[in-house]
Amino acid sequence: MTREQLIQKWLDHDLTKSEEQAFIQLEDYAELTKLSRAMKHISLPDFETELELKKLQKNIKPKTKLTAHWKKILLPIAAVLIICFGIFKFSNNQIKTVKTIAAQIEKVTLPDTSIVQLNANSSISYSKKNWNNNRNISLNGEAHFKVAKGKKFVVQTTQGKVTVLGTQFNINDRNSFFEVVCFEGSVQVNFKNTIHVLKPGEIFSSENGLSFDSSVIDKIPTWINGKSTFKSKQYKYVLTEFERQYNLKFKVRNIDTNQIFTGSFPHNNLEKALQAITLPLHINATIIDTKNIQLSSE
Amino acid sequence: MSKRLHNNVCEEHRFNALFKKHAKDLHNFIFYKYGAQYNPKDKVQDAFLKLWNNCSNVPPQKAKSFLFTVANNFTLNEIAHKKVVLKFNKAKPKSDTHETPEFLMEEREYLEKVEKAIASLTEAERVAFLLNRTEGKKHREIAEILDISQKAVEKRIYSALKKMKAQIKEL
Repeated sequence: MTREQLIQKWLDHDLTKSEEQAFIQLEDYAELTKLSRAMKHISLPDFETELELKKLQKNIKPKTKLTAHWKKILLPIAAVLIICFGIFKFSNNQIKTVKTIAAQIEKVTLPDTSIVQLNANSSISYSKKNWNNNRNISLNGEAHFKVAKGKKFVVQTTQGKVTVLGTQFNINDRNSFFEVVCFEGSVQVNFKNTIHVLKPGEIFSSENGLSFDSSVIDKIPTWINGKSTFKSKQYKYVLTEFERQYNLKFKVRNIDTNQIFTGSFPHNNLEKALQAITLPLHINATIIDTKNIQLSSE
Repeated sequence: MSKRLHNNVCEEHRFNALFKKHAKDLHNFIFYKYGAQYNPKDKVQDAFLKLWNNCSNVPPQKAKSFLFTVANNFTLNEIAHKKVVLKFNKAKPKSDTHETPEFLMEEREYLEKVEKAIASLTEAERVAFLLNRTEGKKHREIAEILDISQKAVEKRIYSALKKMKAQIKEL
């Protein structure tokens, strides 16, 4: 074994008995052991593991306590802030709702001068805040829109979504009936995952799909001028519209309400209106009281 | 599931076990490397505190190197480029022989020389050499602590020894 190997083994505290004898014989044995002994006297600070661990645990535990303490302080502050923010948001994000009752037609001017005519028993609601950038309005019932030019204008109804840029159109969303009539410009209708783009004169309805009626181009719906007009509509829709405009109820006997009706009735004359919807179909109308009318076939 | 549970050191018993296993080695490592003036005990506390705060991000097998790196960095942050001076025990080494004043004088001189010689070692050599000579650790144990090969430990210690001898002769 060489000198270096011996020293290496000595350094590794790995000398066997015989190797130790050989190591002692080395010329620098005394020097090495003297140095080694001196090295042992380097003052290594005592490190009491258990003591140090306890010290550490003291530093760890208060930390969790501290966070719990802070939580107690911060939670109410956070709650107050959230409430304040909510009030701020709410007051700023004021939702404006306009509702009509039976026999009432209401004209609403939106912040961007778009005009909405609300037919009887209908409602619209929209957010006044940031209206010019976010023209979103929800509709329940029937309304005619005259939209001012600007950003996308979206009407959300229970059955479909109507998107436009600047145009005139009418939406009728009543129970299962859904109809959009485009009078001017173009209108996009999203209905049950299908998209239809209406040009002036085109009508989309949940029953007939897309149809065309040139007579409506550049016009406004007749109901705005006090007259309800129907073109090839099922009779039941005529009756419900009549009920809305005159705020009464029909009792129907032996009448096929699915038959098709074309015609109109005025909103200001009950007698004439009744004649208009009953005479062509040979229906007898009996006024029971101011709120109830019975219809039966002749 | 059990694997997930053991993936970090957030559990207290696991953390305490880590402390018992590595704290002393970590302390001595920092001491040999930088000396007592940088409070190695505080560095141990700081490193373990940091491990605790990051316990969910440190897998157990990475904990040791995390601790050593963190303690080392904490010390480096504190260092103002001072030369390391390792002080010898002031207390006289126990000896049952009767020593002449001459001998004691010589001894004191020798210890001073050793002190100076240690300062001439590189940091890597010093740490390995002191772990080996002062603490009496075997090469394998040192390799584990420093995360280097046993061969590298041998080289460092041997070259440290040679340097020390040469320095002491010169002084």
